[in-house]
Amino acid sequence: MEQFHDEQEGGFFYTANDHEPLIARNKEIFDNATPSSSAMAAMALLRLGKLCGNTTFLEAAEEVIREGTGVMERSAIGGAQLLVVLDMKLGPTPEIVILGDTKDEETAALLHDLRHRFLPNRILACAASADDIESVNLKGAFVGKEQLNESVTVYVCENFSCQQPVIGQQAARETWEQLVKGTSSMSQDEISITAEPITDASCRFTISEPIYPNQSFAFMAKETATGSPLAERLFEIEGISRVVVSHDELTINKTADVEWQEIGKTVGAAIRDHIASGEPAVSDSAREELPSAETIREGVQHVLDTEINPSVAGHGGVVNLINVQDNTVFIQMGGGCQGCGQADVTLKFGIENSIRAAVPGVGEILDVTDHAAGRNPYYTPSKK
Amino acid sequence: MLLLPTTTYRTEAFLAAASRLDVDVTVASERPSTLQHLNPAALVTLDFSDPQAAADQVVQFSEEFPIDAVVPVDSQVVVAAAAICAALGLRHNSVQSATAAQDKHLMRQLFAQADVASPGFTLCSLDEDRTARAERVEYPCVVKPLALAASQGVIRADDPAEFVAAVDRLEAILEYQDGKPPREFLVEQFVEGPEVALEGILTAGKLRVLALFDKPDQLDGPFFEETIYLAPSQLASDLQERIAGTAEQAATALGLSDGPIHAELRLSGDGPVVIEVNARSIGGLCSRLLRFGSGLSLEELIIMHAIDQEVELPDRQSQAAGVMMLPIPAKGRLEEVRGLDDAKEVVGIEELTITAHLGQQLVPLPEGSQYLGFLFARADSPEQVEQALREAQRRLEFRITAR
Repeated sequence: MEQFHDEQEGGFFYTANDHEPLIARNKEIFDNATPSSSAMAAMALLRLGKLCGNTTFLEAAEEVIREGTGVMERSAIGGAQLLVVLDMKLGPTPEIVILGDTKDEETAALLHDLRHRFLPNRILACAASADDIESVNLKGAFVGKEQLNESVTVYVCENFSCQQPVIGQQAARETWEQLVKGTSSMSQDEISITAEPITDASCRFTISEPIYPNQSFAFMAKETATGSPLAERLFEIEGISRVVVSHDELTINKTADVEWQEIGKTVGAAIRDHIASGEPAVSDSAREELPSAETIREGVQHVLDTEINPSVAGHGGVVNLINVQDNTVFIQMGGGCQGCGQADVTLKFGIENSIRAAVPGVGEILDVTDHAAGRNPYYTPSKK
Repeated sequence: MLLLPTTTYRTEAFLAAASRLDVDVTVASERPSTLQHLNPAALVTLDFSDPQAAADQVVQFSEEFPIDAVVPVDSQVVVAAAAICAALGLRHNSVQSATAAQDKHLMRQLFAQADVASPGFTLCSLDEDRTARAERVEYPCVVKPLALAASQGVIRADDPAEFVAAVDRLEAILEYQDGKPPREFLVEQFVEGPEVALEGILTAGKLRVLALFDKPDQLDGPFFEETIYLAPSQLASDLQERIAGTAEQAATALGLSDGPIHAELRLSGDGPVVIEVNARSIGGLCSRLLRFGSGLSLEELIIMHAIDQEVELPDRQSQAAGVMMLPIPAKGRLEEVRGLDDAKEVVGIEELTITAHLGQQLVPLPEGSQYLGFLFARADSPEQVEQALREAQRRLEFRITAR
């Protein structure tokens, strides 16, 4: 990356930045007798990126794909290796993690068998245990995985979802067969989980079956998860700061010091473990402790009537309670608050703070105001 | 502690960044929040126009609620932030350097002393004989207030008559400002050439360039309305390096050492010329076009850096992106905005935010300092981004009545 990557335009030069001076540094995008160097670099980065959860590598590979779009459209022959990269990018791309000693006969045979099958788009990592991995970049692939029954153990994952581990050489062979036939990745009766980052801090995991049917529950901190197995599992993962369970979705927030690539698979595994356990997503005690929507509604309305609205009235503002669904509160700002440049400060540090202090059990507080439609905001933004 | 002026565009972005970083925040503004009494640990009122008094107040506040970092959000609070940090013993720009970054005359003097390429300038007064002064000025020139932002009050003059008219106009603008703006103003040499903007962050005086923006619209006056910013810059890499070097030299000349800077430079025939260096990040909603690493915002980087100057900051995502600050075309009352959906449908347009509200009295440059809103686009190349922004703007219609 340091020597060949084009920081300005993206893609990769054919020569390094310490090469002897040339008239131009060209980028090789067409295949000739050998595949194009750009496509080969992209393939290597794609594999490394997926293996290590390194978004910089994945992005650099995507740059090459974008750069080569025209070539692929116009010339399948000239862009053949690029198409291979694109195919890898689009997937399915099973990520196979083998827990077994490569010196062990069973593991060696299993690897030999895998490498003799046509499975070009797979990512493979193998080690006796996560402790044997010296590279911090590679450790993420092994988090939460261990050798079972003292036998070689195979984990097949994709997009934050891991199948149940496969133990032993024979079972692994059957898995290879399924992978080659394209029938392994999450068979029909298995749960599928798709992950969609909303922001850097939050990610929505959609599960193929409801986990908290037609209801939602917000766990705003680890302490609130006690007794609710799914949330307990998720808060055990380093960096998880908030969990909202809603029908077939989990919206999970993390802190800035961990990457989704590091923890995504562990989140997937925790969801899968929870579903396999058959336990409820939200414990009965948590549900019982939670005030009813009507109680929350009354509490919030009281706070608005006695604390918030008398104060914001000083700026011609008003805050209305629109709805309470389970423990999620929907509010709307009007008058001087609607469209005000300081509306966010009022919401986060005034309204939210007062409601949470006075009404226990409140989950998310959502502002549904159309601030763009405000006609008389108290503070109007100006200046750069 | 976020120093958030009540009229900043950037409240939402900084609060969202703090929330994503899981950082506890105290918001300090120049006017009291109506809910301050309900949450005194998080809502504070400071007189930004009296930095020392603000610093004294925060020192007292911090005895009960300790402060780890202070982040100034806009230009008008950078001196207060420096004074507060000095009082708390936090690493930050010195008060002198922050003051220099706010005072265009002092800035020019320091640039000249340090041989930083910058326009020739003369300090003038509204109280002197402007007709006589007009005869001594070299044309074309730019009449510029000492302390306003967003090109407010900045007017080009090509001859003595235009100069006198520009100064008359500036005087009228200054009469309507809060506080007591200085009676002095700058007359600067007009520098021919395209303009660029540099976004960076300083650590112990060392500049890390976060983004370099091309401004495809020529800013030749008579007013200097910002419109389009495009990244990545299409300039040759050696010129980009010279721009970064000049910006760092300018920041050093002012004494700036830590935190974000936003620099504006002209590319003259002799190389980059510094127009301004501000001790703040890019204004308006423009930061939304920047994403770093796995999707971090500029505000997240600024807060991370304020808390830990040694933190490794990720690079800007390489996809071409751009913003158009929608200019106010005429003075009057905004009655209606048409074509919003059509504009959003333009390929590449990622976001359209109208920040002016219906019924608002609009004032165009040079008297005004606001925009109608912001258009954001992403595409494979800066050319496509620019094309998308212009097409989207073409589809928008603002009905403004003169009352």
